[in-house]
Amino acid sequence: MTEQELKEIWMSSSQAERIQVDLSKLVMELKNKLNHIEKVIRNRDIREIIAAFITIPMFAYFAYDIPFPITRVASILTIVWSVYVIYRFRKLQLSKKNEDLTLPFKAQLEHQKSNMMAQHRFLDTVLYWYAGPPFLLNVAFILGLGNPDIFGYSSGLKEHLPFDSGSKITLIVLLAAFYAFVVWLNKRAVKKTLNPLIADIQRIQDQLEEE
Amino acid sequence: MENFEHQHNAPMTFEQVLESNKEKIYRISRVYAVAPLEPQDLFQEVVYQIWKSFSTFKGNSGIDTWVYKIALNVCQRSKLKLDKGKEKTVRLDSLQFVLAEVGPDKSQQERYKALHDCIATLNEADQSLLVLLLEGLPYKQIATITGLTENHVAVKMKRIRKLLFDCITPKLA
Repeated sequence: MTEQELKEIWMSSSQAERIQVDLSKLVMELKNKLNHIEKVIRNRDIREIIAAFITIPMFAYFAYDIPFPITRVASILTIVWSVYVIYRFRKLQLSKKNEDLTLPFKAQLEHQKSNMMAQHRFLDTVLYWYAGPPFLLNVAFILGLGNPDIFGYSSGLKEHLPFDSGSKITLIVLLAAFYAFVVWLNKRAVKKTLNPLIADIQRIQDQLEEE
Repeated sequence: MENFEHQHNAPMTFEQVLESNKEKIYRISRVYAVAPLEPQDLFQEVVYQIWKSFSTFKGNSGIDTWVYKIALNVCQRSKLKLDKGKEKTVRLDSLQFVLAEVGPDKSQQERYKALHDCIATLNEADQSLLVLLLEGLPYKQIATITGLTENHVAVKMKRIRKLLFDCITPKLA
């Protein structure tokens, strides 16, 4: 068996099937596929940041309506945090779109690893930017709710706010459980998905480097 | 950047690029397709990526080199399941795969299976290099596609050849 014979076996492998290309339809189908994928990505982006967009007008109203100073400051800071979250999501999505499949194999692997590492940092640090800050702000918001009679607060919203200690503690515990679950989900994604992928890319990079 | 391919006087259209490269894309797709993904799915994805990137082709390297880079990157991404969750359900009816009337005979099929099995025993990086070697590319072009130096490719190929022949010789004896 010579190398030339192996090459002939290899080259003949494409003769198993004939590839028929309807060129008149192909470009139209490719455009449709691109449009479809862009639509799916756009919808996903909207879903991811919609929660933050809902938060902004909601807490703007709280800041306007609720007279208690600490709660008001917490509401304003929650709006600032929401803007930051939108910025973080957009930044990650933009970096993901910059995939260049025309790069050499080695450079493409490096590029993939950088993308994965960015996602790793994004998910692994959710406690510090996605879960922790809103939890602390929510706690400040709840504990800042004082006696409505002293402030003469009589808005319709008053009925839905926790003013007694029991309601405050219950709500804080529920929020703590919710944010802990968010952190756990993200840490799990890092462990189960991203770490193995980064290790796989690193393995191929090491294979390429070895002689 | 080196230009390894035949120089075209007029720029090639996407259709011409596809027509002259479809068989090599299919051969590479056959190696990388892992169930439930079919070679046809990978082929479609490579064609899609070529079409999407076609306007960015600057001609610094030849079109063949450019196509090989995309094919290898798409196939490798698929193997790592990096595109998991990405929308790929739109099927291209304009690409049809029809069993050849006079395809490879049983002996040729067995020889290909032996080669395919031996390629599968190599690590991912060696598989990529071997596929390019079997395509008949010179080391210089393989170096451009992979981003390794020509000397590095030569050293690795020596080892890959040995692994391949150690595997395939008993199978085809």
